[in-house]
Amino acid sequence: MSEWIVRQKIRIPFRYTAGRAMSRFLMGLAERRIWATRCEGCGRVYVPPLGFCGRCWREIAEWQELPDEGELVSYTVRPVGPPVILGLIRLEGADTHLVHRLGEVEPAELGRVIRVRAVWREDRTGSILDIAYFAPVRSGSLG
Amino acid sequence: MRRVAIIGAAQTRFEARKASLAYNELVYGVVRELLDRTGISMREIESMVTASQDAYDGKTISGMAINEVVGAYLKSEAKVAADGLQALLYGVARILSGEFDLTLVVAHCKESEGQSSAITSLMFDPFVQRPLGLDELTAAALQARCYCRKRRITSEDMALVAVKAHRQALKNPYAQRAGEFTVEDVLASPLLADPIHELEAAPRSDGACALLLASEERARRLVDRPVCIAGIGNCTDAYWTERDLAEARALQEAARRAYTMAGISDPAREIDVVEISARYAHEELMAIEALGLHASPVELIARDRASFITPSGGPLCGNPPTVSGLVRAVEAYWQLSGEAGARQVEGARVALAHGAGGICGQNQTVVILRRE
Repeated sequence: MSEWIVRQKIRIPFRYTAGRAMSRFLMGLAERRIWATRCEGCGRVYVPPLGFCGRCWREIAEWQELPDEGELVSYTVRPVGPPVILGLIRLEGADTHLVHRLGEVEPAELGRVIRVRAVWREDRTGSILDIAYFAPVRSGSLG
Repeated sequence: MRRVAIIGAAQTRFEARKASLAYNELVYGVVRELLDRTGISMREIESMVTASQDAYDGKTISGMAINEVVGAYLKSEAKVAADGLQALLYGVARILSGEFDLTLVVAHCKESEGQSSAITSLMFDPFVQRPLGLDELTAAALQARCYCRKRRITSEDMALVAVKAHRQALKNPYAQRAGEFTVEDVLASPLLADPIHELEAAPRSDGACALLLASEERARRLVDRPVCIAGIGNCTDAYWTERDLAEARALQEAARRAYTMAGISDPAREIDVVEISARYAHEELMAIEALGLHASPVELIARDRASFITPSGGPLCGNPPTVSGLVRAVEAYWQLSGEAGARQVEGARVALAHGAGGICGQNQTVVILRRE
């Protein structure tokens, strides 16, 4: 039986347009600010911000700034090379989730982590990676 | 109203790598087997709906690369780049329109040819999610923890789903992975993305399946007691980071629509066999609950008589994406036509096939089949 294999790599450079809402969010990150939108119909606060609410099917025009701290809703550890820990984070005041890396924490301690706060990079460029990772907030050190 | 019946089905054996078959050869093989099983000739088939993904085939307009082997030369063919059970939905719509009668529905995927993680990462938002290295498995792991926390499901409970699936797959000659595993074996298999272990995730898989649809009148000329499509429901949820991942709202709604259409009021009593498209163990539990089959899915799985839930073993035992949903309909159909071999649920008259697509099951399809 013949098993001739042809190897190729597909490389397609892209220039994704971030759009109005996402541009404001990404540019805000460069200034250590987290911008969200709030639907005037259902009151849901979207972060990353959406310019439209799919549930109400209407445009969103209201912007608000959120703190860089919130609840760790879920997490996972990918044991690829040095383990990568990813968390699902609900920022204070948000109704949606932000995904990000978790740091300053050992995988075994994750089950006890309730709140996390962004640790910002010094060299920010308007990218989600302007936040280096989220770190656990030790109890009693709110704010 | 016009009704649609399934008059034949075929599937390939699922394998980690079918290195000797190009994907058009894989598809030809399964269509050839379908025609041999039904005795229908390609001349009689009027329309085709195929399901495939450009990114997995490494080629855009992937439907056109298989048009000859599905018999679409100078006929009408349409491709669905989504779960294969949606291709069935469109096949049914074609017949209900009155324009076509015999319609072929085919799904294929060779997951082994590309890099699955790189391919599934393309599903994610390129601005705030892809740079973090997300892929389907990572998102599934985040969902698994949300669901297990909310419903107080332990690692042992989750492992039980994998134990049951692989035990049932021992009776399925098309399954890629089967065996008598214990809960300890499952929890000792490599952790892919905490809390998901290797035996709790669909393995990389190559394969294809096909179904032949006909109007009810046509089906009655061929078989005495046709298997008809009694209900269909399809529903889309919000993007995965914009909803409660512990809930399967879209599946509840898809099921409600399918049950209403099929006149089913008590699914746990009225449905004899269920094929769930769970690519990860927690999805099986979420689906049992959302489909209204049992309020405590773990309790149901732990019982021996739960063999009517995914008797094939399901995607945990090897079905690639895209094919996962349609092969559930193949299995459900065989249960009702009495062709399910050793995994046959005795006397099955009503079957449910479930398909899901998108990140963390954003799109859900439920199909109810009934034999007279």
